[in-house]
Amino acid sequence: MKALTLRLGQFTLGALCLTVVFRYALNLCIGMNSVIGSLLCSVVYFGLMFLTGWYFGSKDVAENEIHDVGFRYHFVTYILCIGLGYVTHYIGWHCESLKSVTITAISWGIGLFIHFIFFLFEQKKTIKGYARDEIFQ
Amino acid sequence: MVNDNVINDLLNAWEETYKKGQLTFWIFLALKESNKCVEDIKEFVEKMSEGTMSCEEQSLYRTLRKFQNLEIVEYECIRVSKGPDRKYYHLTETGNELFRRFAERNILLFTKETIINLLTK
Repeated sequence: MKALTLRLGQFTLGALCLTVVFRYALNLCIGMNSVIGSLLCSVVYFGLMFLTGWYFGSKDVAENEIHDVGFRYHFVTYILCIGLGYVTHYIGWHCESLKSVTITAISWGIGLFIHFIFFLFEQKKTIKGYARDEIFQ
Repeated sequence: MVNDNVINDLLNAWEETYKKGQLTFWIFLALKESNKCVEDIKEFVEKMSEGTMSCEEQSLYRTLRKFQNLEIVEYECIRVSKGPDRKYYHLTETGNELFRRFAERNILLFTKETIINLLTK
């Protein structure tokens, strides 16, 4: 399966920018003790991440017809969010405690693992990532 | 008495189903003849199928990209005097073998005398 596609790359770049901006904005809001600001940042971040994933994911499916049940996008999102969670903690931004990032990493990691099992199961119905019944349509 | 309208309706319905998946066959046939760019494949398909098959270039590009990822086809870029380089596609060893086996199992049986006799009866 061609796992690394142009659209996945574009999503990764977009998600990286959004996550850095979100973490920075969250850092400022927490620094100002603004609960509403923190909540607003989180909601906007969630919405934009969802739209970015939807946009590039749909294009990826239309252009490459890769049947991966969204696992590649989920994996990239996990790496970015958890990775930047640790990075921002160590550079001193007031976003999340180390314990909070680790708990998120473990619980989300379990979800990601379950998604991976589904992904492997679905891969059995494919040839090199393409759904068997769609290859010669 | 034969109702021509009903026959035409049934024929169209049958052809719609029959033609699904046929594009692949025509693409393979086009590339079996020689290396071709998308425009040449489209022309070949429409000419050789006597207009019964038509395809959009966009659809051909998508199909060829998929076949390329599946290592059924490969392409080489050829420089042309005007415009950007053109991709000329050809069947890989896997593609050739796949087509040979498909034709052997599904197409060549139509060349049997008994079947030809029934078709032309």
